[in-house]
Amino acid sequence: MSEIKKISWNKHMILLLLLIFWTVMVTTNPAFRNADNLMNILRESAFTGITAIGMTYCIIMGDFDLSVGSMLALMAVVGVKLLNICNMWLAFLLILILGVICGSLNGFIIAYLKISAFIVTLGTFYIFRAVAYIITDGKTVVYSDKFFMFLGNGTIMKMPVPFLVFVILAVLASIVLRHSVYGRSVMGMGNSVKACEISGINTKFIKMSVFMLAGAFTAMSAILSASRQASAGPGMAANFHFDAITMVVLGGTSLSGGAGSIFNTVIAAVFYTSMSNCMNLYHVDTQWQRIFMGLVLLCAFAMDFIKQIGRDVGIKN
Amino acid sequence: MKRFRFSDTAGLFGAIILVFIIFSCLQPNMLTLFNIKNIFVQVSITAIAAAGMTFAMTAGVFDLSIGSIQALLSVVIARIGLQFGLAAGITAAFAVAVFCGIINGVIVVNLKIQAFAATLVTMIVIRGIAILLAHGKEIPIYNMNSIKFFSSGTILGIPVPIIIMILVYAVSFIVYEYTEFGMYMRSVGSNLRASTVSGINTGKYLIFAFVCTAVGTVFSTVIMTSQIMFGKGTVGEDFAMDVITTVVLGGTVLTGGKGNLFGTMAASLLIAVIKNGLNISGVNTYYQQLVIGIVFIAALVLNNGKNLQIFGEKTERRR
Amino acid sequence: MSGFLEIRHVSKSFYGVFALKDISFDIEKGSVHAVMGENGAGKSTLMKILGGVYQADKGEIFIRGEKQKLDSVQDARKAGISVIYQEFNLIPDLTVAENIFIIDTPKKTGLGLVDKKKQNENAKKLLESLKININPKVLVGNLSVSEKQMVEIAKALAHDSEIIIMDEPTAALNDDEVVSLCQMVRNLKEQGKTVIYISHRLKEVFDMADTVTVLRDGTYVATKPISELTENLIIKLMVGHEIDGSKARKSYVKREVVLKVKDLKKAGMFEDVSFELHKGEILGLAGLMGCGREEMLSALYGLIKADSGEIWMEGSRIQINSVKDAIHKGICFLTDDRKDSGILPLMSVQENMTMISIRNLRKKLGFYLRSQDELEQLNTMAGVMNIKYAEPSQKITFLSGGNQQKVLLGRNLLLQNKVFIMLEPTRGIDVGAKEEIYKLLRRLTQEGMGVLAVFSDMNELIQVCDRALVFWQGRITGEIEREEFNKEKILSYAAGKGRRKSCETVQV
Repeated sequence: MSEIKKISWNKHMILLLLLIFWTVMVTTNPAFRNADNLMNILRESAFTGITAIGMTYCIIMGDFDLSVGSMLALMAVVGVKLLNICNMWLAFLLILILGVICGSLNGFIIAYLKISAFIVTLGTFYIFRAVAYIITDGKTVVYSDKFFMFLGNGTIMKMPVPFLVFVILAVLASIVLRHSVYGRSVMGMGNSVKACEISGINTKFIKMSVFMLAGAFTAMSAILSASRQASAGPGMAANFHFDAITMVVLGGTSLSGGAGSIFNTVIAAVFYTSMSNCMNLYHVDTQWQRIFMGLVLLCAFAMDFIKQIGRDVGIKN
Repeated sequence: MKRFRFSDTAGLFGAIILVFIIFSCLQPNMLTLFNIKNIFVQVSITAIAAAGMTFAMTAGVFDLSIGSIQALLSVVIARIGLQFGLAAGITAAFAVAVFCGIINGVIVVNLKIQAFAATLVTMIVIRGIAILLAHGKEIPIYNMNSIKFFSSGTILGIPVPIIIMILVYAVSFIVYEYTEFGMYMRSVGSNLRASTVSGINTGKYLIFAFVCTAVGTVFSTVIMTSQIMFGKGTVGEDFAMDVITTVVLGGTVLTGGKGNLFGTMAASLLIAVIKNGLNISGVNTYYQQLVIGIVFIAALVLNNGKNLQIFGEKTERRR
Repeated sequence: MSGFLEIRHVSKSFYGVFALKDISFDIEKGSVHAVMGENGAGKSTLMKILGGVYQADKGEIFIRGEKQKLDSVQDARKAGISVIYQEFNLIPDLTVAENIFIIDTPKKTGLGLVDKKKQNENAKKLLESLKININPKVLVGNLSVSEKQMVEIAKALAHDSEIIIMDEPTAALNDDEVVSLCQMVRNLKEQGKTVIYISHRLKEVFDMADTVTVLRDGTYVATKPISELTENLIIKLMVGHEIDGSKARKSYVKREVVLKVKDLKKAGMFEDVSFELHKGEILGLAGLMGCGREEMLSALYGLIKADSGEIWMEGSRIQINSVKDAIHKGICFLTDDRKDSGILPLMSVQENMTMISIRNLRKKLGFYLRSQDELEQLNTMAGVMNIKYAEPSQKITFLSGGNQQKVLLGRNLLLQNKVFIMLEPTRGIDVGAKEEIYKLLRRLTQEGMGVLAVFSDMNELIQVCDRALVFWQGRITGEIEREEFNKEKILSYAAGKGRRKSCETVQV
């Protein structure tokens, strides 16, 4: 019985961390407990969080996508340019398609040419960013339609729109991950690609599709981010991949793949945003924030390592 | 058995000459002695760091953090150099580099985190420290004339950066081919488990791999700093990419075990010629980045294709 | 009596299961000492303890009466022990000479540079003294399996060790190579070295060994001079009882052919493979390592695409281009590497069980899988096969090897299959689970399923199968009916001595 309790505590450690952090902050800092600030945290968590959902799929499969930040910048600038010339919904659709295309470019090279995801997405990280700069000639592009801006800045029943989108997408992604053949295949790929092959899963296609999915989620992040600022610049989201990976790993998704949870990624996204929000409240220097977040990611990595040891011990007993 | 056959890198040299001729036709400026010298100086900065990275990739690991290490070193050289003189600055840079390398290595070896993930973290952290050390500003070293020697000095008419590069490669080659250290690097990258069972302290050599790249970066940084004459926490944003592209393009096997130092050198030359050509042709720097990215992916695909072929031969031989 | 090397009360367990239990025996200096036992008897574990790869939980090891501390490979080497492991420990990207002298490389004095000339010369000398004809400057990655084996041996000898342990060195060798290995072992003995030799092959043991120690299920059985032993006696000691193939079990072979393979070929792997599998038949595939049988079975299951050949299922020709095709046609597959390509270690028992059948479950809204449906499947199979687990959501790694294997079998049995390809179905599981899997096999054949099975343990093959095909270098060299089963026959076919008649006629 105690065994089961221990495991579920482990599973929801990030939730516990969030609760502790919020309790401490809410009681000690009046600026933090301000309702606007809390809503703002939720809103900000969505922009990276949505991409983190796609990243969770990648990491569960045992791969990474470093190119998401550049992809986001590319799609945001293309999106804003499109918005200026065509119907909004058509523009959204096109951006989504662009995201899938970018993702499939990554995915094709990784899955069918069998090159490690890390290094391929490192390459496309530079390519996408360069294309974004070329398209805009290094300038920021603007679009400030009222409804468009509502997506990033508005609220529905006092909840920020991006956060609602984030939650809906997370629920969908979670259901697909837990209760569909596709999700099971992705999870299986992270456990053993060979076993999946023997089980008759088209492993290459699954691998490629996950990167396409990551592209699609990034496209949605891009739309919301552009809407938030009513503009997009080619240099935006410089450390985006880093933030997204940190959220996923903080959420307890194993680095080597095979297990993970979308719910925990959502919690981790809120936790991560709360931390940076709180550092802003205390006027911590950006560089110190970066160093701190780096150390947080390192801790998350190390925790994953410790968990793995625990797992081995668990097998032994 | 020759590990470095010319034929392996012949394609690269061919490409260099081809690219050079194309640009020369488009831009006569390309052919001036000044420009050729300039290309070589440009080459030296990436090429030297790439020699170190070749060792790391031979041992089967990567280091994404060297751009940040470069920034940190440039700040260290500038600050310590201004206070205690150039020699002290460079010595401190060496010490800092070795320290960074060890940190990277220990994270990878002792926390068992993939090299990519680990250096992704240290990349962020080290850059943060670099910017903090420089208080977010440039640290000019215009009055430190002695450092100029490293970029614009000559010995017997040969620019110093080129001499440093040749020395680094000569030493690297000897270390790679003719020392136990080089042998163990190859061995660790080729088959980690077998190396452990053979009695090699694999962890130690993996840490050394990171120290190699960091130390290579010291030379690069000294040359670079003497060119720009200031230390800054934001330099070298694309450095890791340039260096890794160079090594991959040079034919070092991604999965480890087989490095190709000649290839690395040739590749750095090729990339420098492309960049220089684009520069002279007045192409926007954004396109340079795009070209490098595409060359990188192409190199990956080509490199991988070659490996698959070798693998095919191996299975053939089994019977 | 105290010997040169004394093993005293050595025990070792993995994950709570004993691999070795209180082993004690002595080995004389300058002797060839064979250690024998069935798969899983603990031979390799004991050798890894001597080689410093594993550390014993309990017990001591003495050499010349001195207690040895064998905490690492280096310690073992210092103690004068070299081990040639079953799996190669060579570095593919280094040359033969570099591999042989990977530790203690000859160096030029002063600079500390590797003296390549001397390295190559020394390697050449060593290889010549062992009568191995391999160029020391060649990369190991380019060598054949048997050549690698030879290099392994040379590497072990390069350190001038007193004690040389060979863990099934002949597994991948052909007859001529085995003869030269025997000669090598004799040479070593003449030089006064002590050789500990692990092998399944009785013939070699009688050729070379002075003394034989038998282990069974991790326990010590006996140590006897070879003069006191006969083949049957050794088998009896190894197995605990004598096996008689003919009366072991009832056969359920039916007349109908379920699977027919004609002239299946994959260049470089196998060719001319033709056979028929009857309903209710267990057809064993024998052969040495690298003989092509696993590859052939992979091709039947769509993991590899064959170049040419026909596959017929119940009288109609089928095309198998992918695993999906094979599953669709009613073929299923059990891997021999449970850890690496069988279980999904971080997933639950339930998810592991339904990995394949999940696609055929009813779904809500076109995609939504209901847990109850999966649970139902798990319960069915758990009942049929007596799988023990705490709860459906328990991670499969926490199950015993036997239960994991049952889940993998059950995964395939959830579909209506006609042919079951099994690689080593009883590898790494305890005796009780083995019996249960035999029982399951019996039930499956009774129901008319055709089974293609690979057993590396010859005794098991003889015990379980109705008929055996023997592979050698990618071809079928022999077909043996149950009544004619005997080890020597299988081994001689496996060494390429016999040819199936049809093959001979083709070749003439």
